[in-house]
Order: sequence, then structure tokens, then C-alpha cells
Amino acid sequence: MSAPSQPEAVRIRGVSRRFGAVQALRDIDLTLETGAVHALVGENGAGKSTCFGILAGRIPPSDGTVEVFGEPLSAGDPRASRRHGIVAIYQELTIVPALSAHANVFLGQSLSRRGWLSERAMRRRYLELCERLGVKAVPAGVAAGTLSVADQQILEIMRALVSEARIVLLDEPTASLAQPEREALLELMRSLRAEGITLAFVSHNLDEVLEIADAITVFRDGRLIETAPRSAWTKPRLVAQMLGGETGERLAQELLAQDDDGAAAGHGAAPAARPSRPARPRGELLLRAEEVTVPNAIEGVSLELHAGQIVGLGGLVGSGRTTLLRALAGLEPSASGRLWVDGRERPWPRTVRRAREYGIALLPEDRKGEGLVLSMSAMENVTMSDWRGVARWSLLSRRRMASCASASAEKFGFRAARIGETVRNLSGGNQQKLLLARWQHCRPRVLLADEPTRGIDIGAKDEILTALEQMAREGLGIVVVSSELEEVTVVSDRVAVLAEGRLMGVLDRDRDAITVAQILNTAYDVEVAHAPA
Amino acid sequence: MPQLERAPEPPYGAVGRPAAAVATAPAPAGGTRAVPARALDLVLRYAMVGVLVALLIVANALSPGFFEIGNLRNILTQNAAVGVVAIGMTFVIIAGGFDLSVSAVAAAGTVLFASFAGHASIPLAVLGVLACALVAGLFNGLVITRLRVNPFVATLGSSSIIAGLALLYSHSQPIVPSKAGFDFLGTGTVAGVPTSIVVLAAGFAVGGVVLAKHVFGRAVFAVGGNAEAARLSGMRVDTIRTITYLISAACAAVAGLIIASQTGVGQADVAANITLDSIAIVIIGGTSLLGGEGAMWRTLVGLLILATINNVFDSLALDTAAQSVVKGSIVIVAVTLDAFTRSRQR
Repeated sequence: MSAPSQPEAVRIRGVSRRFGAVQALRDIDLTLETGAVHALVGENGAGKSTCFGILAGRIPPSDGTVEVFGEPLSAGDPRASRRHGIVAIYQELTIVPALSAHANVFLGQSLSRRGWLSERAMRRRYLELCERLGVKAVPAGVAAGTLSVADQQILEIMRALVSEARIVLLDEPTASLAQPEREALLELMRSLRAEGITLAFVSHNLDEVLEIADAITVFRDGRLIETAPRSAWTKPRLVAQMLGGETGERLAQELLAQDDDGAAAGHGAAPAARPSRPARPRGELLLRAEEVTVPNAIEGVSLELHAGQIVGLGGLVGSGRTTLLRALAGLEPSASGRLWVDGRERPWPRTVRRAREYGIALLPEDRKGEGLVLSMSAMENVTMSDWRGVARWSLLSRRRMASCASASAEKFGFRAARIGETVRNLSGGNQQKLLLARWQHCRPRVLLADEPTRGIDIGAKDEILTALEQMAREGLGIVVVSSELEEVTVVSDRVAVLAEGRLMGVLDRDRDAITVAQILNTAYDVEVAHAPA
Repeated sequence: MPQLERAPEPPYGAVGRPAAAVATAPAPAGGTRAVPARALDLVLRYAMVGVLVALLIVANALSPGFFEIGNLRNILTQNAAVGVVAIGMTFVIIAGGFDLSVSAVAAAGTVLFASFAGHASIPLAVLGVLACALVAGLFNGLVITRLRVNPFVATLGSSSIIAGLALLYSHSQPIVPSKAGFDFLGTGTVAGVPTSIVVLAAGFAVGGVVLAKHVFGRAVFAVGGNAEAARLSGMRVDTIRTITYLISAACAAVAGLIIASQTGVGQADVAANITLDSIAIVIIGGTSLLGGEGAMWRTLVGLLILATINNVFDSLALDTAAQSVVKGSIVIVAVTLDAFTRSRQR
């Protein structure tokens, strides 16, 4: 803006918002400086998204005022927010899959001459934009639906730029991105900042928050706890403020302890808040897979899993981690390979039911799409892996279902009182606990967990990881895939590292240091000084 | 800078937000809803029961003989066939499917029943009709689950095939059997109650218990709500879907038996409106067209609403065209309610 005084991009004063009985935001004062990157952090339900909703005009505040570049913003009017140059980009992207990249960028603001779309001008402007932002242009004929989530996100950001956005709100922009894509996005955010665009973003990934933000605000229970410039924050302090109370203290302490360890061992950033430990004892060999091949995805991969152990699959998105899990779960009909279950060779499972016969169960990555039936109750979702177990003469007993489901779900910190609620109304963390409880209810021998902590807040994450460890201690064999490699390093006894569909190596806690750096080095086939085995 | 020239807009809080905004606001994740919102949910949930009660009151006012046993018996026997079809349709729709072939199956049922009754005993004829219907249902189920054809298109096609076969089989002529007992389902009674009403009541009772309590019934909900989740928890999704089409075809065949028995003829071109009426009944009751949500009692409510409207219009000797208008409007109201309820659930 050209206003001489350079007013703040956004000035929120005394804003509150209630949803019925719930106070989602209490008396928030927040200022976003023009041309800066501002991060909002906090647990799920802390008020970050409501805050974005108010700025974007999706949600009218119950009280308080908002000024944008010194002008008052009219309440709850998405078009007014747009006129002030505010664009919000949510996790659910609004890309039209069948249209090309540039058509998506110019969606709703197409360039035309006398009513006819000017394909060529849009393409040219798109290429200019790509150059300006330093991203690779998508070929003209390619439909946006075939692009990766990361590339689609870039298109959405470009759409904001074309519409002359001056304030861009990003809701968990990196949640579904792999490490290199994350870095590319952070780079893009830096170039936006360099162009004077004000950015606000919500993220659960504190490392990235600390890396890119100029200022960080912590929310807890609808209150703004603290806003401070980046220099005033450390990871432990962020965690402590986010959680508040005792949990925060404990986690922060552990983080601090690990920070020291990390510094001593010389491998940079601290992993999640859990102490390092020796490998769990190895039980019998549950599963041995060899020469696993899925056309165009993985080739000749092998894997061993022992009872009581957690094996992590390390590697980047696209390395074939998820495909390997899905092949083991019977979800890849074109998969081939040799499989031994309890020492006996069995035909490769090409249906889910066959895999279940072998005792293999999958905790899918897409909780809502593949895991839960949102319209059904929590207890039905938990017990649906084995309804016969809570039925008599094939008629379900509500009482038995409730007691079995609560018993399973309580192990993961799910409150038994909520077992009858419809899953749609539960938070992401609680939903994930229900999915875990499903495999507690009907016990498989092998659990394949794909992104078990995606999109849930740090407190619930901790509970889920603890639960997985607990399940391993009880003799389950677990295979974990996570985009957050720290998590893999923390929870795994062994890590099989994949890259481009091939097994690059196996890190064993008894032999190697399991660190993010080690995983990446193995994935990129970098020579590292190995301790002799 | 056009923004700077505009009159300043009123700031937040200066404009009082209407209280209604609270009720339509999305509830935060995991949070509890306000009391008025809960009440609204309850109203939405049982809206169609309210509509039914209102209709019954209106019906009684317009035609004072409405609640007489004779009239009630008439209403139910007239709607027994479509009611039985709606029971099967409920399974199909909750599983996320659709069955447009029920009219054809019912019509073919009347033809086969009349034809078989000329050659065999009535019970054997009934079994023969049911067996043929199961073949039709299996065909629907396999085309939909194995060949992955959209249910709408698959059953539209099979509907045409079955109707054509029935016409060929009967040489487009009505078949009039003269066997004792052929009219038992239509005009006979069991302990004083018309057989068709007994069949309808039994159908709702069994269907209701299976859907609400049986492992299969809940699996139907799971498949309709999220097929992928059902598959990953080890359910035979395709088998469950196919079974819903078997149930639907069997119900349609029973409807055919009732119609043939009531009219005394087997004819390949009867019951043409049963498909749309049965779907309307399921939807009016409040079962979601998207699958995964609904209940058998809802279908019963839908049936009674439609039956009441038909009866009132008939007793007032009004045009059937007006009936059609009212029926259509109620379907749209029901679907709108469903959409509104869904938008409140986010």
C-alpha cells in the first residue's frame, strides 16, 4: 500500500467469537505487520482457524473490530475481505481437476477479449508468474488434477497473486507435503514476502514455523497466549506455551533434554518429545516379504518384521513407502512377491480379506476417506472390524458393542462417555484413536500404520505414538510410514529406507544411529561412516 | 485505489448480528452445540413424523370416515405392493445404490405368477417367481459390482431387458389363471387381517430388525457411508451390495405376486409407477440418497405419508394430476430437509 504511514496489514482488536456455548475466541488482539510472515500455532481447536475464518469473512465475530490497512473490515462478508486483498488458502484445495494449470490460475478472473477467452495471454501471464516465483511451469496440456498436491497448492497461491492479493492466509500449507516440497513451499513463501505480501499461516510443524516466521503467535483454548518475534522463541518454549500447565512443562523438559543430546551427537534439530532408548526385544519372525514388486511403483523390495517391534519405512513421498504398505494390506492387485507368515510361505495377498486372514491390518492414511464411516457412531466404527464378536445370533448387542468399544478405545485415551457419538462430530485426534482402537478390538498380528499422526495436534500425537509403542510391547508387529521423519526415528526399532521404489538400506537401532540425517543419507545413497556391524 | 474512495464500512460489532446466525454457524470440532441448535436437530430428525401427523389430522378433517377400520384397511391393501418394494429399496439406497428395475421385476412377477399358477401349485409358483427375481437381482448386483457400471444405468438397462422379456413371454397378452388360491395374497385374510397387510407388516418388521440390529444391516450402512473403510475393515463390500439388489428384486417380486393376486391377472405392463413411488417413499421418510444414513421406520413413515395423500385425494374425488403435484412437492421438501441437515453437519 502506498499510505505514507505504512499501516499494519491487519489489526484485530478485542475480537471474540462464540459458537453457541463454546467460546472459540476470547478477546483477541493481533497485529499482522505488512510484508511479514506471521505464524499461528496451537493445538487443534485453539482458535487459529476461527481467526482465519474471521479475516477471510467466513465467520462473523461476536465482538471486536478488524482493520485492514487502516480501514475497517465489514464483518462476515467474504467479498469485502477479498476486496481488501485477503485470500485464504485452505487444506482442501479448490483446483478444478480437468482444467489446465493456467486455466486454474485464472479461474474466475480469466483474461478475455470481447468475451472470448484468451488462452494465449493467460498462458503467457502464467509463465511470467512461474518465472517470477522461481517455480517450474506445468506443460500446457496437462490437467491440474494429475499434479501433486504441492503443485496444486502452488497454482492456488498463483491464483491469489493474479487477483492482487496483499494478505495471504495459509491453513496448514505443508501438512500433506514431502520434505523437498515443503522446502520449495517455504522458498515460495520467502519470495512472496520479498514482494511485500503479508503472509499468515497455521502449522503444526514447529521446525518450519521457527524457520520461516518473522513473528509467532500461540493460541490456546481460544485465547491468544503470546505474540513475539521469531528471535524470542525456541521450540521448547513454543510447546510449553501451546500446551500450558503440566503437560507443557513435561514435554518442554524432555525437549530440552533432547536438544542437549542432539547437540552432543551432532545431528541438528531435536526429534519429537520422546526419550531415546534401546531397541525393543525382538520376538519371533512374524512376516518376511521378498522381491515385492508393484509395477511402476516399487521393485524387488524386501522386509522383515518381528513380533514386538516397530519397523519404520523411511524415505520421501513418492519413494514407494505407501505402496509397499498397501501391497502388504492386499490393496494392490498387481503386486507380486514372496511372503512368509509365521515361517510358512503364503501366496501374495491381492485382496484385503486375504491379508486379514494372514493377520495383516492397515491403518489407512486417509482417515475420513478410507478409515471411518463418519455417519456412524464411534462404537460401531471401533467394532466394525469384527461385529460378529459383539453379536449374538448375528444380532448386534448395543451394550456389548459399547463395552467392547470403550475398553479398546480407552487404551488410547478416548473418553468412554463419547463412545456413542457420531464420528463426524469428533476431532481428528479422537478419530485417529478410534481407528487404532478398531485394531485393538480385533487383534491382527501385523499393523501397517500409514501416517498415523497426520493432521492431529501435538498432545494427541504423543498419545498415538505411546499407543503404538504399547501395542508393540504386547507383541504386535508394526510397520509405520510417516512424512515426519523425526517420528519414524523416534518410534522405530528398525528403519527400512526406500527411494524411488527400491530398498536403499536398513537402519537397525542396535547397530546404527537412527536419525533423520541418517535416513536421508541412506535414501540419497550418500556414503556415511557406518559403525561396523 | 478504489478501496480508499468507498465510504467506510461499519466496523465489527457495530451491526448487531441476528441471533439466527448462531444456529447456522458450524460447531467447532469436538465442541458441544448450543441448546437451540440441538432442538433444531431434533426437529429436523423427526420432521417427517410431524408432517405425517399433520396430514392425518387434515385427512380426518377433510374426510371424516378416514380413521374407520374399513378405510384404513383399504389404504394399506392398496399400498401393500409399493410398500414392500420400498422395503427392498431402503436397503439398496442405504448401501449407496439405486434400483430402477423394480417396476419391471414386479410386472414380470405378475406374468410369471399367473403363468406358473396354470401349471403348478400356488406355493411352487410363488417359489418359481422368487427364484426368477433373484436371478434378476443377481444380474443387477454383478453388473454393478463386477463390471463397475453405475447403478442408475445398470438398473435402467436391466429394467428394459426384464420388461422386454416379460412382454415376449406373455406375447403382450394378459394371463388370467383360474386356480383356486391365486387370489389368496390379494384378497385372502390371515386371522381376519388381509394377507397383503400381513406380508407388508412382516416385511417391515423383519427388514427393520435386520437393518438396525443384524450384522448384515449395519454392514449395509458401513458400505453406504464409506465403502473403502468397510473394505479395509474386512467386509465383503461387493457381496453386501449384491445382496441388497437381491433383496430389492425379491421384494419387487413379492409386490408382483400381490398385484397379480389382487387383480387376478398377470400382465407385463402393470405397476409402471412403482419404481418412482418406492424411491419417493424412501426419500420422503428421510433416508439419504447419498447412502449410509436412514432407517426402516423412516420408510414406513414415507409410505404412510404417500398413502394418506392418495387416500384423501381419492375420497375427495380430486384429479390425479393434483395428486402428482403434491407428491412431487413433498419429495422436494424431504430432499431439501436432508440437504439442510447435512450442511449443518458441516
